[in-house]
Order: sequence, then C-alpha cells, then structure tokens
Amino acid sequence: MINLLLFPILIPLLFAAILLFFPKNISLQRIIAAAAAAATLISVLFLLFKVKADGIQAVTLGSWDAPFGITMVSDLLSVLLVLSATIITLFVIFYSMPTIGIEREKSFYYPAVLFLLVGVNGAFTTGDIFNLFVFFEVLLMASYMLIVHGGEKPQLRESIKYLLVNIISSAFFVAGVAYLYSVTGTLNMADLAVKIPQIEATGILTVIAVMFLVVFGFKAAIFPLYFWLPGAYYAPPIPVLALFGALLTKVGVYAIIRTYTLFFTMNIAFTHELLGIIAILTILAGCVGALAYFDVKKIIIYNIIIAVGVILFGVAQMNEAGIEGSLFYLIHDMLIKAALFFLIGIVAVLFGTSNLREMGGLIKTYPVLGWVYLIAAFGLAGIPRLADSLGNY
Amino acid sequence: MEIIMSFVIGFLFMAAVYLMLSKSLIRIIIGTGLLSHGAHLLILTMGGLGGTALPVVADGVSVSDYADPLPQALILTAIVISFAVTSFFLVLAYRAYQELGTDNMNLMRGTEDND
Repeated sequence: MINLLLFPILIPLLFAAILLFFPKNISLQRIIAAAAAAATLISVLFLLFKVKADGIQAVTLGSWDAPFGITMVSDLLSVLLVLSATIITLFVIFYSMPTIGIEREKSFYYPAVLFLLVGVNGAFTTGDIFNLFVFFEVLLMASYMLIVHGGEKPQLRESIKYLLVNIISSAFFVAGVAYLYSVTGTLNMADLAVKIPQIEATGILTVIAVMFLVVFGFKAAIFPLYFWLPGAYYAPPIPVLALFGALLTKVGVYAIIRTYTLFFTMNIAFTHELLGIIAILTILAGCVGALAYFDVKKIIIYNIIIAVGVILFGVAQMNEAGIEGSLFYLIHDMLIKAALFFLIGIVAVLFGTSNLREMGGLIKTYPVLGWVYLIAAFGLAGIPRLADSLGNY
Repeated sequence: MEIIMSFVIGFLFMAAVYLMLSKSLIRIIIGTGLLSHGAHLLILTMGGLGGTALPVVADGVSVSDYADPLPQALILTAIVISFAVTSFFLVLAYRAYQELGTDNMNLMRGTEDND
C-alpha cells in the first residue's frame, strides 16, 4: 500500500486548480505551470525507481479490497508511459511560452494542459475499466477546451466534429462497460483477467471485445475510424497539436494493448486477426494520406495514423517479440512525434508557410535546425542507431 | 420488464442516430443527449431490475433480495459527465453559430474554398 503512484495524477490536478484563480498574471501562470510539470516529473521518476526495484505497485482507493474498490495499478509499462507523457507536457509548456500568444495564455491555457496531463496519467495508471472511462472523459474535456481554445473559425468548425465523434464513442464505451459488467460481474482489470477465461460463452465476449475495439479505435484513430483526425488536428496551434499527436491517440492505443493482451484473449483467432488486418489497413491509409499532401503539417498528422497501425500490428501478433517491439515503438513514437511537431512549428514560422513546395534551402539558412530535423525524421524512418529501428522488427 | 427496457433503449438509440444524421446543429446536440440517455438506461438494465429490499447489509436480507447497486453508482458518474459535455457542446454550438453564421453542418465541411 503506497500512495506514490497517485502523485503523477494529483500534482497536476492541484496546480491546475490553483492556476484557475489568477488567469491574467501570465508570468506567474508560466512559472507555476512549468513547476507543476517538473514536480510531476520528479514524482514519476521516484515512482519509476520504486516500480523497478519492488515490482508492480497498487493502491485501492478508500481501502476497499480489489474486486470491489477502484484500483490504481502501476507496472513498468504504465509508469514508462506516464514518464513520457509528463516529459512531453513539460516541453509543450516550455514551447508554448513564446509561441502560443498572450491572448491564449490569459484565458486558462496552462490549466487546460495540466488537466489533460491529469487525464492521460490517470488513464495510464488505472486498473479499473470504468475508471478508465472517467479518466478518458477528463482528458477529453481538457482536449475539447484546447482544440477550440482561441476561437478561430477553423477551430470552431472542427471542434464540433471532434466533440461529436468523441461523444458517440463515449456512449459506446458506457454501453460496452455495461455489457461487460453484466457478463462477468466485475470491472476490475485484474479480476476480469481471472473471470473471463472461466466463461464458456465466448461469442458474447468476442462481441464485447470488438465493441471496445471500436471505442478505443475512435480515440486511437485506426483504419475506418480515423476520418476525424486529419481535420481536427489541423485546426489548433502547433503546441496543442504536438500535445494531441503525442498523447491522445497513444492513450487509445494503450487501452487497446491493455484490454487485448490482458483479458480479451478468449478468441485470439478472430479478434487479434481482425486487429492485425485493421492495423495493416491503418498503415496503408496513413501512407496514402501522407503522400497525398504537400503541407508538412498534414504529412506529420498522417504519420500519427501510420504509427498507430505499426504499434497495433505488433500487438496483433500476440507473441513476446511483437509486443516488445510495439511497446518500444509506442514510447519512442510519443517522444519523436512531439519533437517533430515542435520542429515543424519553428520551420513553418520561419518560412511563413507549411507548404512543402514553397520551402527549400532551410539547411543553408538555418543549418542547425535543418540537421536536427533530419535526425528527428531519420528517427521516425528507423535508421539504425536511432532507437526506432528496434521497434520496427 | 427487461424486455420493455430493451425496446426503450433501442428506440432511444434509433432516435439519436436519426437526429445526429440531420444537418441542424441543435438537432445533433439533442441526438447526443438521447444517445447518452440510452447508454445510461442500458447500464441500469444490465445491473438487473426489481428487488424488494434496500441494498444494505442487514439481518434477513440476502444478496438476491436487492438489485445490484454498482451500476447505479456508475450511472451517476456517467450522467454527470454527459451533462457537462452536453452543456459544453451547447455553448460551443452557440459560439460557432455566432462566428460562422450558420448551424448547417453541410456548410461546415472545411474544404479549402470554404474556410
């Protein structure tokens, strides 16, 4: 019984609540937001060493024992994802300071970023499927605010669609949880892993598994359900885009990995085959999209979809090498995607456009920036020596 | 009773889908409201209906005497969340109507010539 694993959720929540009181004092907002992310990072590092030394940590809220109370579980996977999420948020806050604009900073920009971190860290840590829904809603609510923040016309137009898609997927999530509860009688993930293999009727469980795949697929942007992503992610400014691209789809991917490796394993021949086919189609759709545009921002956005497909294909193999590769690629992709979005933001400002045709000669005028971008893009492409290549096999 | 509830839920989902497929923004929002109502009723029904006693541990009351209280706790959470999301959606729709001058989804496609 240790409360350490709640700190990555509670620290940003507390600081975000404090930040709500003085929206107009920008310098204080910046300092406290950065301090909050840094404090969260420190607590995650402590947690990482704790988990590495002592194994899986768990807290049952209110001391109700496991199948009845809500459990928060931190294993090495979830703590590493929380760590990457926190690092990215810290750098997004630094990157936002000069780029996001005074008007946005004055109207609750930093609290929204921190609330998003609360939701993401919570979703990575929770061990209860309904609690996962609640944390999904926390991060979605923050993302609704961030995507419409600033109130430009494209933002308003796209955020309506984003909101609608996510409301529908949340309704399906609630329905899926209801079915799962009525079939198994529990919502605790560890308990589900025990109960599900005992149930004879695998047909209904397969239906529930596919329903959850649809729900998480909306969030993770897998093949037929990615249609909302290119438009919605194009609207907000670059720091928000980096935050979304690096964190939001990855939460959906994490949820698929968790559910499909932990308890929806009763009919691998169907569900994981389906996941594999969808993963390949996702990669194809992402590639077609990335090749079709000359706008760097759009190309990188379609890269998110490709990465989701690659990660899920590894999971669909359902063997040690595949899942190892997927998890490695997942964490690597979170970090490298955020870096690429940052660089593209700088490049777009320098050239005054994000159209590939009108750019050129970057490496002559800004050699350092050009080479850094090259390294980041190589990282994405999987050149040996850059961690990524390991994940691709 | 569960059969009737299933029909009610199905009807709510059907009405929600019909409303969400229309062009007007306000109809879409009402559709999302109905959709979440359907999902909430579904949880309630999945927990089992009826029961004669309060769900409190006492003498002479066995587990089979009362309905499962957990789904009701889940609904409470889900209702609060959908309330917040719906109110956000309404504000967003009003703001979008002010800025864009339309509530017709057909005119909000976001193609290059339609910004």
